[in-house]
Amino acid sequence: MGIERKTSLKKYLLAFILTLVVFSGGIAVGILLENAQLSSSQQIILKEKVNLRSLQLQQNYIGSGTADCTTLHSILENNIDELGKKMTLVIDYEKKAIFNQEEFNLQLQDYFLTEIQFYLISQEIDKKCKQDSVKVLYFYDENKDDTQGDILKYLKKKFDAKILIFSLDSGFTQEPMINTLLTSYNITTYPSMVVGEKVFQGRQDARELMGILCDEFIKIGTEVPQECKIVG
Amino acid sequence: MIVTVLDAVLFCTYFLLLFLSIFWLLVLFSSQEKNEKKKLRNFPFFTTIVPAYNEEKSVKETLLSLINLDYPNEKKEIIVVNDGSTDRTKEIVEQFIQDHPTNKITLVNQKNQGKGKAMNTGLALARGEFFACLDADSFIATNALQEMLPLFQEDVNIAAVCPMLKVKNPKNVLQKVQWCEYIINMFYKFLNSRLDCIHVTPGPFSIYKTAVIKELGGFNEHTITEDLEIAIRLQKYQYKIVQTFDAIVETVAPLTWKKLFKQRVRWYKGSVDNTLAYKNLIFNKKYGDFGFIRMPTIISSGIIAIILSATLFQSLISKLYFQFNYLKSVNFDFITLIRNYSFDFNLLNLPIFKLFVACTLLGISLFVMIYSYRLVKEKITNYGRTWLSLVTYLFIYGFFITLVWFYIAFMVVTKKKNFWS
Repeated sequence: MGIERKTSLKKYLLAFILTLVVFSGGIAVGILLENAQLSSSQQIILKEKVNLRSLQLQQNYIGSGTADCTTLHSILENNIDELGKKMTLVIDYEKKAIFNQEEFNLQLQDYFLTEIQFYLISQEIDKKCKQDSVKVLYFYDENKDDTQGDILKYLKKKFDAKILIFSLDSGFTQEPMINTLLTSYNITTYPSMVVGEKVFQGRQDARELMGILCDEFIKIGTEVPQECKIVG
Repeated sequence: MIVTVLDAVLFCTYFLLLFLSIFWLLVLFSSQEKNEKKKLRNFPFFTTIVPAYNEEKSVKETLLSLINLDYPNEKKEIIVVNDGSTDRTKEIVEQFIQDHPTNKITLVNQKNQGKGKAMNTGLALARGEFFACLDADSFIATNALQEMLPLFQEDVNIAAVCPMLKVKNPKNVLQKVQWCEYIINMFYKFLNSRLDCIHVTPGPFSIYKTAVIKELGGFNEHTITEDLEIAIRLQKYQYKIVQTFDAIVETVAPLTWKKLFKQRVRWYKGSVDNTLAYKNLIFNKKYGDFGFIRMPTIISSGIIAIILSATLFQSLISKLYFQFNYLKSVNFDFITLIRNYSFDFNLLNLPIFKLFVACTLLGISLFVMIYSYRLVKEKITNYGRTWLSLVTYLFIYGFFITLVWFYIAFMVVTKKKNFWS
């Protein structure tokens, strides 16, 4: 008496294999995507490097009068903005990468170096031309959920071309140049910012940072944005 | 990429979910010998037990549907067990008996002792070779016995036959949502039936072999989900439970979220309690697929729901918290943010692996939905046709059920007992 029980072993096995196939399909698509991300970021960095070289060459001709400051400022601003956006993308790719982690790290290193080069060249341009924007060197902490970067983005929206932000990962040990900058500015806590010549360690809220930037606008003698007058 | 414990748990959860979905699809498409529809050879005596507690609104209609059954009057009896009702249930049944003298209807009054006890009271008096329980809020189609009883002739091991359950006249969105849900549940019961894995014989008009239930000691009086308990007990003693789609029983579904919540807590907590009570069946090869698939998934479906929604909730909360902090740090200057808003979309940045698995699961779910409607010969446009009810079913109802599971987890942790709604 009683039913004869069956165990659908074949179905379990087939279901397991098919599940593996779907997961493998997902992984295969993931590999293709990662490769596409890699080649896309390679192309972006190449473009930025070409722009950097062009800027380097042009700034050599400022004294001779064949290159004008307004154009250089505009090129610099466009490149920094673009570089910032693309870097966020590459950082995102690097975080999610499974198979090409090393390649993404190298690209990130390349990005940071390009950014530092842009920062140095911006200082060169400021020496030759009248400074028309405040440069912010921002060292962020990848391991902390801080909102400093977002506050800077917000102020960038407010002041537009009047501020240029150069972001560097304070914990990116692969690139010694970042450490060199940190040592030279004597920075020990993160997030930190270098605005003009001054170093600000720890998080600054939007109001404080706006005040700092407005002081810097006055110091460099550029036109003070309307927003600064509201802050007082 | 840093792989956290949570990532690993999520990966395993997705894998299990996909595995189960594919497994049930394989069951659906596996060849099955088609049994010819059998006709009732004779008319065995049949008893219907109607346990009633405060059912003054529906008991008359329930009794009417029973006397209207297409079955000889002399071959059927109705036993109404009034389980200590405090409303007019007793008077209404007495009046009904007086109005229908040609029908064998017995009214038994007892102190309120729960449905299990009421069922056993009815069972002790039952003279039928077969019997069914009909909750006083359910209504049967006239052909029910003609369709269900012949199924017992297919195999001597069949101890119970379950009817097709539908929601009666769904009116508001919530009832329409339950209407969709019942149909999809029927589809899964159909698949479970193929593997002899049915774990519940629903209260509304499941038919049992009287001798078997008496031999097993009747219904459990200590659980409030006695229909779940008896089904698992039947499986334990290697009896067969069969599902049919040809006999329809309509039941009144809860009208409010609160009532539905209480009902589902009772059902699902009952499932958990009974699974734990019969834990020796889990992964026991003596019970075949019932032990390997059905029993473990009763609890694991709740665990999966909790893991997925907790992960989603945690990520949503952390995003909201981060966003709030950001807005606070910029003094909630929405004007600047809106004025300078730019939409950045990057196809390459999509979580392709998760999307791939999610799309596969969604595809399977849609297929199940469409196939379920075909199986029960209903148009997808019936009742569920309002966009609101379909959207509620697809996107909100899952969260509601998850909430039920969360509450059950809380009950398990705090050792809270199951309760009647």
